[in-house]
Amino acid sequence: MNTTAAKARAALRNGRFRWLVRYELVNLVGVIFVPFFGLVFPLLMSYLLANTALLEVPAAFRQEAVSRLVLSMLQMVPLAAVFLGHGAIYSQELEKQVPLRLELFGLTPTQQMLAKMTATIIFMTFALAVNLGILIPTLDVLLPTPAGFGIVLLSMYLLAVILFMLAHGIANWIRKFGPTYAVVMLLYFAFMFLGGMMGMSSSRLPGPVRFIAELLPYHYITEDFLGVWRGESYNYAPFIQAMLLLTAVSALVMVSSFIYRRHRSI
Amino acid sequence: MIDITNLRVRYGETIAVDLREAIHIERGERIGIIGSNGAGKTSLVNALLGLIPAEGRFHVGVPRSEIGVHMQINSYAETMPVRVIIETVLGAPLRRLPLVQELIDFFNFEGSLGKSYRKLSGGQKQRLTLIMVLAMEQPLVFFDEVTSGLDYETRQRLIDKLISWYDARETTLVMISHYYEELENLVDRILYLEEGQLVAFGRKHELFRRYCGRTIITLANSPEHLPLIAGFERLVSPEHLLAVSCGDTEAEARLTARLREHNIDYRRSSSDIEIMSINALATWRRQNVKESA
Repeated sequence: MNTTAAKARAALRNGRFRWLVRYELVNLVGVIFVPFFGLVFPLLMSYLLANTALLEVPAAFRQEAVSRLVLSMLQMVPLAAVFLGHGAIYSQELEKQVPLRLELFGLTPTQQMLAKMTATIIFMTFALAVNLGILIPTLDVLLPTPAGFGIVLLSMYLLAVILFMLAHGIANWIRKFGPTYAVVMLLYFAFMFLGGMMGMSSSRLPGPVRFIAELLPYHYITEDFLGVWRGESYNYAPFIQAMLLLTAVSALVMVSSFIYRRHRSI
Repeated sequence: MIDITNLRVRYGETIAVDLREAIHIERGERIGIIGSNGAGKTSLVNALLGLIPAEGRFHVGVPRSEIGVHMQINSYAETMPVRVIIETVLGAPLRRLPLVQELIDFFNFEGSLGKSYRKLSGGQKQRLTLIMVLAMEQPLVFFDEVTSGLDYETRQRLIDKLISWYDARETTLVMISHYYEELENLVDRILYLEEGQLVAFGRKHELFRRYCGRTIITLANSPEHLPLIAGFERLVSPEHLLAVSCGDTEAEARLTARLREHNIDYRRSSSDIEIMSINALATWRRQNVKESA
C-alpha cells in the first residue's frame, strides 16, 4: 500500500471531527422546529405569560414572579434543542440509514454521536445567550450572583447531556421517525407540564402526579432555583437525587438500545 | 486483500449466502459480482464489511475505515447543503480539494453544490456519493449497483470514467452489477452467485473458455436460422438469440462463411459475460440435479 496515501487517509480521519460538528450544526438549525422550539418559543412563552397570567401578581412580588417564570422557561431550551431536536432528527436519519452512510466514509458511530452532542451544546449555548440577553433586560429579571448564574447554567448543560442520552436511546430503539417523534413529543409536554412550564405550578398538582413531578429535576428548577440564582443557600439533595434518577433512566435507555441494535445490524 | 474460506449469512431460517469454496482476491484485482436478484450479492458485501452477522472464516485485509463503499442506498440529512456534505466527508474546504474539483467538473456537478440534498435528482444523488468515494482513494472499494437509475449515456460515461480513474491506481475493486457490459472492461475476474451459492469464480477469459469455448457466434433466434447452425455446438442463450460455440478457428470460419452466404447478421465474441453466465448457471444446475439424484 502507498504509505503517503495511507498517511493522508489517517490525517483525513483525524481532522474531520470539526467538519462533522459543523455538519451537525447545519443539520440542527436546518430543521425548523429546533430553532423555533429551542430559541423562539421560550421567548414567546415568557412574554405571553408575563403579560397575562402574571399581570394579577401584586407589584411588590411581580419582579420575583417574572424571574421565576424566566428561569422556568429556560428549561425549554435543552428540552427542545436537545431532546426534541436530536430525537426527531436522529430517528429520521436512522430510518434513512444516514449514520451508516457516514460510517462507511470512516466516520465512526462514536465520532458521530460526539459531534451531534457538541453541535446541540453549541446551539443550546447560543439559544440560552439569546434568551437571557433579551429576557433579563426587557422583563426586568432579577440579576443573578456569579455563583448562582454558574449553577443554573451548569444544571442546564447537565440536563442537556442527560436528555441527549435519552433522546439518542429512544431514537435508536425505535429507528422510525413517526413513532420516535410521537414518544419524544409526549415526553416533552409531560416534562413541561410536570415541571410547571405550562403556567401551572407543579406544587399545585394532585398528590400522585406531584409525586412524579418531584422525581424530575424540572420541579426543583422551577420552584427553587430563583433562590439559587440570587445566591441564597439551598439544600441540593432532592435536586441531585432527581438528576441522578433521570441520568440512570436515560443511560439505561441508551445503553440497552446499543446492546439491542448490536445484534440487529442494518 | 480478501480471503474467504467459507462464509454463511442467515436471515432467520433463510440462508442468504453459503460459500463453501475458498475465494482469494489479491490486492489490485478487479472483481465483478454477478447473479440474479436475491442471489446474495449485497449480503456477501455487507458480510465482508461487517454490517451483518456472518459465520465462517473470512478476512478483509484493510480496516473498515480504509474501505470505500458505494451502496444502493446513499442518504444524507435532507436539509444539508451538498457542499457541506462533501467538505464533511473529505475533511477540508472544497477549494483545497483539487481532485474533488476535477470530479465535480467531470460529472457536471458544479450546479448542485449550492443545493440541499433533498433538491437533488436521483442521478445527482448517485453522483454525489460517487464523487466522494472516488476522491477518498481507498485501497479497497465496493460498488453496489453504482449505475442503477442512470440513463444509458450517463452510465457509459460513468463507466469510462471509472476505467480511466482506476487504470492509474492499484485499488482493489469489487463491483456488483446487473449490466454485464459494464464489467467487460472494468473487471478481471467474475464471482457468480446464485441462491447464495458460488456458481463460478475465475478470470473472465478462463470462465468464457470453460463455459463457451474459444469464441461464440450469436444471431437472431428464428426458425429459418436453426438449420444453419446444425452440426455446431449450441449454447444456452437468451430467448431472442441463438448462440453457437466455436472450439477452434476452423469451426468459426465454417459457421461465419455459412452465415455470410445466407446474408445473416451475426456477432462474434470471445468475452461475452452474459452468455458465459447463462451457461455457467446451466452447468451448475445440471451438477446440482446430478448431486441431489
